[in-house]
Formats: sequence, C-alpha cells, structure tokens
Amino acid sequence: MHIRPYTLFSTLHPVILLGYALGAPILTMCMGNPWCLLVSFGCALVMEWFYLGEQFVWQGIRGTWLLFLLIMILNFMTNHRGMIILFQTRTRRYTLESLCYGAANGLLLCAVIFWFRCFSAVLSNQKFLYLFGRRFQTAALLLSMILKLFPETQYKITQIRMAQDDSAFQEKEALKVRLKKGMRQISCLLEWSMEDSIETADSMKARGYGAGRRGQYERYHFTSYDLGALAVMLCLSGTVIMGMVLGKITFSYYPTFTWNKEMLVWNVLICFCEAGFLLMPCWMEVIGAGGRRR
Amino acid sequence: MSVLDVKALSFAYPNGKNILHAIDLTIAEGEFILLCGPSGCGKTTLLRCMKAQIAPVGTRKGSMSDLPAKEIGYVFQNPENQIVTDTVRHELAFGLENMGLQTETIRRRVAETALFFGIDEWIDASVYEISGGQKQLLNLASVIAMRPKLLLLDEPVSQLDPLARKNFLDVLLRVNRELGIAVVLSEHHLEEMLPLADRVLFMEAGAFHYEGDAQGYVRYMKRRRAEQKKKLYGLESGISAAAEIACFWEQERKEAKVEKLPLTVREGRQYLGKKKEEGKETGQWDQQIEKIKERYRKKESVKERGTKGSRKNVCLLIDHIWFQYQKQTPFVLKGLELRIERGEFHVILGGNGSGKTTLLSILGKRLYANRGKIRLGEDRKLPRIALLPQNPKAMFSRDTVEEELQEAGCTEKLAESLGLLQLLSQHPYDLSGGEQQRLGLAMVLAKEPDLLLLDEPTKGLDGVAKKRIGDDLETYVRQGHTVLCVTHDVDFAAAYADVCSLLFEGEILSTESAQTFFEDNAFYTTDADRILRGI
Amino acid sequence: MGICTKSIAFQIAALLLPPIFLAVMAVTAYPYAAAASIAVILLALLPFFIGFEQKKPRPRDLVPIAVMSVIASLGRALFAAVPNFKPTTAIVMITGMQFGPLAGFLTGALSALASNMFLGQGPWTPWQMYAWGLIGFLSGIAGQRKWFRRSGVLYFAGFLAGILFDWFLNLQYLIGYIRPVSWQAIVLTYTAGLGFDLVHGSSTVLFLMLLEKPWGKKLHRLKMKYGILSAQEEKGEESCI
Repeated sequence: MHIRPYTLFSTLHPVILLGYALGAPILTMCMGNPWCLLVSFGCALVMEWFYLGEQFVWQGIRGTWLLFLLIMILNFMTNHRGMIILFQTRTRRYTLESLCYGAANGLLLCAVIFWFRCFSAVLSNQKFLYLFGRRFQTAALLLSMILKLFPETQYKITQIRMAQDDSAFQEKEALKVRLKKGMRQISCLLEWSMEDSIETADSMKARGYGAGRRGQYERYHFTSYDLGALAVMLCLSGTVIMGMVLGKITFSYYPTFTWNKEMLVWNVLICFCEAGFLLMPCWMEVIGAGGRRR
Repeated sequence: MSVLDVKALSFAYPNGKNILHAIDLTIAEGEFILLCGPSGCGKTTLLRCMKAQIAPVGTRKGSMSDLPAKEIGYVFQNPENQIVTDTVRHELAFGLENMGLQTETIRRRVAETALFFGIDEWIDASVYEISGGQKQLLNLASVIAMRPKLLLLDEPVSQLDPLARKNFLDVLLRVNRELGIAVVLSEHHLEEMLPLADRVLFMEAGAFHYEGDAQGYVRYMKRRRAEQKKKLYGLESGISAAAEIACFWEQERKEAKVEKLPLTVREGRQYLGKKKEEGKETGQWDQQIEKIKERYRKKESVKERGTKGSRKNVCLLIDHIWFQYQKQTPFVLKGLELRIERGEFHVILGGNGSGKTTLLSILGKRLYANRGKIRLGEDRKLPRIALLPQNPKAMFSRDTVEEELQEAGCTEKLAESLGLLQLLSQHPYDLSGGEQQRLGLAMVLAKEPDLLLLDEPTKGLDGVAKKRIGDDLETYVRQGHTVLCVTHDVDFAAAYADVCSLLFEGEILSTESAQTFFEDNAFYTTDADRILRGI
Repeated sequence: MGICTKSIAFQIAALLLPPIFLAVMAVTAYPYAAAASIAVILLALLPFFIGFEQKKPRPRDLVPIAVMSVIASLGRALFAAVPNFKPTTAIVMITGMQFGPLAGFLTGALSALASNMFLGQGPWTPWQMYAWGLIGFLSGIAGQRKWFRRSGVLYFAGFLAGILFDWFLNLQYLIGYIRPVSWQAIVLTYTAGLGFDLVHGSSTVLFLMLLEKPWGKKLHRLKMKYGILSAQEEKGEESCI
C-alpha cells in the first residue's frame, strides 16, 4: 500500500517509530498557535505524499474538507465571542474571531486525521504487534489471527455471494427479499467461519499453545544509532513542548487576536523545530543518501 | 527401536458409537507408514488419539507408550484453517514461541527450517498471498521446526491440485529420508505413495484389515474387490493403474506364478514390454492387450458435434470473450471460445490460474465479460443455469439437511436419488465431504437447471464419493440436461466426460471427445493412458 | 467466583472513567481535550487487556473472538448499499451474550482496531474501541443476568446501543474541536447526524431480530459440539471470558 516501505527511518527501533507515529498527532492536538498548526498540517501532507503517494493526498483532502467546513461552521454559529463583527442578527452576532477559531480547529482535526493515515505506514502492523505483544501476548496473537482471517473471510464472502446470489436471473427483487438473502448469507458466513476456526484451535493446541510462557520471535536491538535518533527527536519535540508550556507561542483568539509579538524569534524557532520533528523520516532519507555518496 | 507403541486401543464417542476396535500399532524409528481406508473408517480418530492435545472426547481403552506430545507433529487436512497467524515468518515461529524458547533459538530454527523447505523466498509474504500448496508446505515446515520424532498427517494433500500434491509428497519424502522422522500418512489417493511406503495399513470399520508392504496391499485389494464382486479398475479401485493392468493380465492369462507387481507408470510400461515379448511367442498378445485397452476406453459420444458457427443443438456458444478483474491487471480470459452442446457432459481441464473459475462465474452471470458475447442456441432461449460452487459450505445456512432441502425447494424424489433421505435430521456440517457435495448438488438441482455448472466437484473426495457424484451427474445428463464441469481431476474427467476441453492461460486450446483428448495428450492424461500409449 | 466479581467491579469502574472525565473536560473547556480524551480512553481499555492476559484463555476461547471480530467488521460489506446500515453492533452484542462480558468487550474493541488497520487509523480508533467494547461488555453482563430474556428488552437495548454509539463518537468532535461546548453546538451536532444515528439504531434492532435466535442456536450447537467454554460450565463457574 505504501510507496516507501523501506526507508532509513523504518530501520529505527519500533519504540521510536511508535513515539513518532503517536507523537505527531498528539503534538498537533495540543497545538494552539495557528502558525504551528499550519506547519503541522503542511508536514502531514508532505509525509502523506512521502509514504502514500500523491493520490492519497488528494483522496485525503477530498475526505476531510467537509469535516473541516463542518467544524468551522459549528464553531462560528455557536460561539459569539470576539470583537470584529462580520454580521449581526437581532439576538446574536457573528465574529471573525470565532470564524478563524473554527477554521483553526477544523484544520487541527484534518491534520490529526492525516497523521493517523500515516500511522500504519510508519509503524507496520508487524511492528505494532511486536510492541503490543510485549505486554499483551494473547491480545497480540488474537490481533494477528484477526489479520489473518480478514482476507480469508473476504474470500468466503465472495464465495458465498457467488453461490447464493442468483439475482442476475430474476426480476428486480423487493427490499425484503434482498434483506432476507443478506441475512442468509451472513448466517452462512458465521457457520462456515466458526467451523473452520475450530480446526485453527486444534492446530494451535497441536503446536503446544497454552503450555506455558511463550517465547518471542521478533527482536529489535536498540543501538546507539537509535539512541541518537531518539535524542534528536526528543530535542526537537522538547523544544516545541517547552515553548508551549512556557507560553512563548501562546495565541489567543478572544476577545480579539493577540499574540506575543516580541516573541517572533521564538515563534520561528519553534516552528522550525516542529517541522524538524515532523519531517524526520523525510530528512533522514535525504541526509542518509548524502552520507552514502561521500 | 520403536517411536510409538499402541496396544489394544479402543475408542468410543460419548454417544456410544465405537470408532476404534483394539488397534495394535508399532511405529519404528524413521518408518514411513501409509494409512488408508474408506472415509469414516476411523483414520482421523486414530491419528488424533495418538496426539494427546487434540485427542477426541470419549472413552478410550488400551495403552500407548509415552512420547511427549511435543515430539509428535500433526498436519491437518485443510491448508488454510491450520494457519494461525498472518505472516509466513510468524507462522513458522508460532510453535517455537509456544515452547517458550529463547529468541535466538527461535530465529535460528526458523531460518534453518525455511532453508530446508525452500520457504526463504517467500518468508516475508502474508499468508493470504501464497498458494494452497505453499500453505500446506508452510504447515508442514512449522511442525517440523519443532523437531518432532513422529509426524502424523491427516489427508494433507486432498485439498491440493495435482501438481501441488506431488510437490508436497516429495518434500514429505525428504523429511522422512533426510531427517529420519517417522511418518504416518493417511490418504485416499495413494497411487503415487504406494512405492515409497515401508508399510501400508488398510483400515475399515475401526480395525486394520491389512498390514504389510505395498505388493501385498495390491494383492489384498484385488482379492477383496473380487470378493465384493466389484470391478478392479475405476475411481474407487484404490491402487495404481500399473497394478490394475498387471492384475488384469494375470487374470486373463490365469497365470499361476506370483510375480512382483508394477506400481508406477515406468514399472507398468516395463512390465507390459516384457509381456509383449513373451506374448509374441504364444501369439496371444494382440488379443490380450485389446481386452485391456477396452477396459480403459472412454465414453464415445454418440452424436457428432456441430461445426463452428452453427447453432444447431447448442446450449451456449461462448464467442471470444475477454475478461479482467481490474484495469491494472492482465486479462484472465483471452478471446475464449467454447461451444457447449445440449445433453453433453463437458469437462474443462486446466491448471491453477488458467481462468476456470472465472469462466464459470461469467456463465453463471456473477461476472460480466469485458468483450465478446455469449450466444444462445437455435431457439434463442436462455437456458436455466445453476452453479455449484467449489465449496458447498458456501450454500449452507440452516441447521438441518431437511431445512436446507426444503428452502431450496428440493423434491423427495431428488433427495432420495442422491441418497440424502437418511441424513435429513443431521446438521450440514456434520456430513462427510461427499455427502456435503451431494447436498449442495441437490440444492442446485432443485431448480432443474438446463445447464449445470460445477467447480471442482471432486475436490477432497475419496474414490467412492467421487464415483457416487459422477454417477449422479451422469444420470442427470442422461435426462437431457447439460453439465459443464471444470476440474483438475484427470481421472474423474476420463471416467465421465463426453467432451473434454483444455483451458490454458485464458484460452481453450482444444475441445475433443474424451477418448481422442486423452489419447492425444502425452502428459495431461490418466496413468492408464500413459502406460498403454503406443503399446 | 470471588475473583470474577471483583474483576468485573474493577472493569465497570474503568468503563465509567471516560464519561466522567469527558464531562469534566466539556464543562471546563479544557484546551487539550482532544489529546486528553484519547489518553483517558486508552487508560480505560487497559484493565480489560490485562484481565484477558491473566485469564490465560484456551485456543477454543480465542478463535470465536477472532472470528466474531472479523465478521463484525466485514459484515458491513454485505450491506454496504445503505449508509450506516451495519451489523457490527448487533454482532458484538450477540457475542457478548453468548460468550460473556470479556469476550464481548474484546470482540468489540478488536474489531474496531483491526478493521482500522485496513481502513486507516484515525483519532476515532480508541473511541470506537471503547464504545463497541462497552456494548459487548454490557451485553455480556445482561446476558449472564438474563436481562434480555424478553426480546422486547433486547431490541430496545439494541436500538439504544446503536444510537448511543453514534452519539458517543460525535462527542469526540464536540469535546475536542468545538469550544466552548454550548447547548446550541450540541443541538446542531446531534440534529445533523440524527438520520444516520436512527439508521444505525434501527439496523441494529433489525439484525438482532433476524440474527439473535438463529445465531444463538448455531453458536450453542458449536459450543456443545466442540466444548467451547465447557470447562467453566462444568465447574459451575461464571464464565468470565
């Protein structure tokens, strides 16, 4: 699915990948400053392009613009704080501030969604299962079984439809008939899958499942390279968090747009660090390639 | 030294049904044992009883030497269902993880096993990306990775196509010969395996009726079928074509001296070669061999098939259809042309991925061709078409056979003719494979289709069940309906087809009467034809 | 039995945690609500997964959960023609009733997680896991206490479950991205999605009506035939899985 599954970034320890894959959306969610938010949104688009390709970016935009509008309008309609009045009805006023605030929140949601779309490209299912399985062995195995069953069950569904759907030979059927057929098919699926799964259970037992503590096949070494990458990530994201905590990049919409204008340097620095953190897979690839040439 | 000793093992299910009666079995180190017998004779129960973790619930008597359960490997019938995890790599590691081994040990054993089985090339794949044959190899490998001393296999190749089956058995032989692991293989198509087995066990009704080498087994089967007054050849014979032919020879010649019987095609041809030389002296060769050839003669279709383009007697005329699943993928059917005439049993043979199932789906109007037309016969009437899917389980959704039949609108007469009346109160999933196939058949035949489409109707069935379904289909054809069947099963096609077509890479390459088809093909034909070719 | 009741009490406490926190966040217009709500929900999921690990379930207890999760998420494909018409909620409820609260919870939670592994994860993943998990868990408890013996009650519960699921998921937008949460915002949000919510609720009822009886029978047969959960039943223990 993803166009770059074997990046340099993907060689890092899964814990770091998880840190990035969850860190990016969470950092974005805490973002109050519109500039930082724009940076995050831009980076999300770039990463989506980097991992999933141009098509996915457009697809993502098509999927989220309505949500963006919805959030914006909802905030605009229900919130009438702010100074700059756009128009007014008898009972309430509609302000530019609330419109912008709504837009910012809509953008925030879209950015978060875009970041999550990259999640499985950054942290492949196998690595996720490795991390999850360290603490939750049984649940991770269960998840792996589910992933195995997905395509198999999809195949069964096509088989069942193939076997039971004879609508091509009939007149257009009433909704009730179609519904009944749907129910019949899903019952068939249940029984078939359940019967088959009993054999899976036997196969698990035959291979000694449940005898005692399980070993683990996957192994990832945490090397000094990982440590270095982690340090860089922590530095970059730490700076952003520091800036947020210390109020260097506070931006408020109400009563009217205010931000700390003397802190422009801070703002630029923090946006820079943020982009550095969020674009890490990208720039690691660029620098890594340069290293080889030398 | 024996790996496992079973003494006077009896087993009864909780409902009181006795499955095994005082079984004695000693498995020697590194022995290759073939366990055969009709379905329902207790093969699976015996194998499961030997593996403690999956032993069936019920009362058992008798003793068994203790071999730690982890030193017995078990491979099941269905390749998909025994896979637990979602990637090849983790599947290989699954058993080792369960043993609680160190990560280093697990990784080394996985690597070692993958290399031995040649899995290393697709070890990164998801399990749904690999073929059925590869899946079964993976199952074998993941059991072998646990280093068992004894391997039990319950009809492991019955769901595979012929090529994958041969491949699996080759690997199994390597496991036995190179690793010295004892093997008990239960199987109903054991023609290929007979020459390789150290010992053959024939089981019926929960007891061993024969125990000994392959030669003795063939003799035993011959005697047994003579006692039951059944023909020695055909789908249910249970012995290889070479042995059948040699038995006929002996029968005809009334030769008293007991010779070593041929088991493989090669031995069969050598045997006949020798007989030919001997026969030349006595001058009876020609007459004898004609008699034998007569037995393997296919059905000769009575009527002439129409010429290309004419619509006389046509059921459906497939006129150069092209089909692809997605724009990005290659065409599955490429200008496929086929003439299906009324009242014929038409079999399409072809390998995996040749487009067999796709063709059926298009005829059954589940898919639509991108290009080309399906033309009707002279009367321009669309025939009633019904499709029996590869796995009849895709049709079942009720709790008893009776409900299933009722819903399908199946008459009692039809149910009776398919032998379903005594099964009415059973659950469809408690039926055997052959019975399930017949139930599926009854459900499609209830609509009395003019054209019946079948997808691999003999998959996973034993000879008796195959013959049963073949006879039922033949009856249906004789009533004036048309049957179109796609299959891998050359023997089934040879036994029942009027007309055979070869499908390769989305094209029909030849359509001929069964006799011509199998005579002309040198490789893609039955063992008997291979032996008798040119003799 | 003692351990069982205690762990159930603990799990119920964990399930109550998110709504309380979410309410507090909504009232105080907490600026980091989007991130905090996800964290709270993930925390609430934790005790169940830990409890499940401690149970050491047998293979025959695991496979039904896997199968039901897959059917619950893929069943949508069979009815994809109508938006929001999905059997997932009903299937999770049936699983809970048949296999107990913990199995119901896991089926709900894992079907959300696994289906998003294919459809794409989103900030809604933990919310869905929690909501479907909760539905499975509560139906499990109701099934054990035989509250659903009268089908009217079951259908009503199914309708409620379908609607509340959607309403709960609406909350994530409301709490995370709309500030302050005024009554107008709530009304607007919920009226906008009401049609879809009703479809979800009534489809759940429909699926329960059509599937509950036959599936109950089928699953019961399988339990008998293969001894799923039989060990617990023999001991007369309340099944926790």
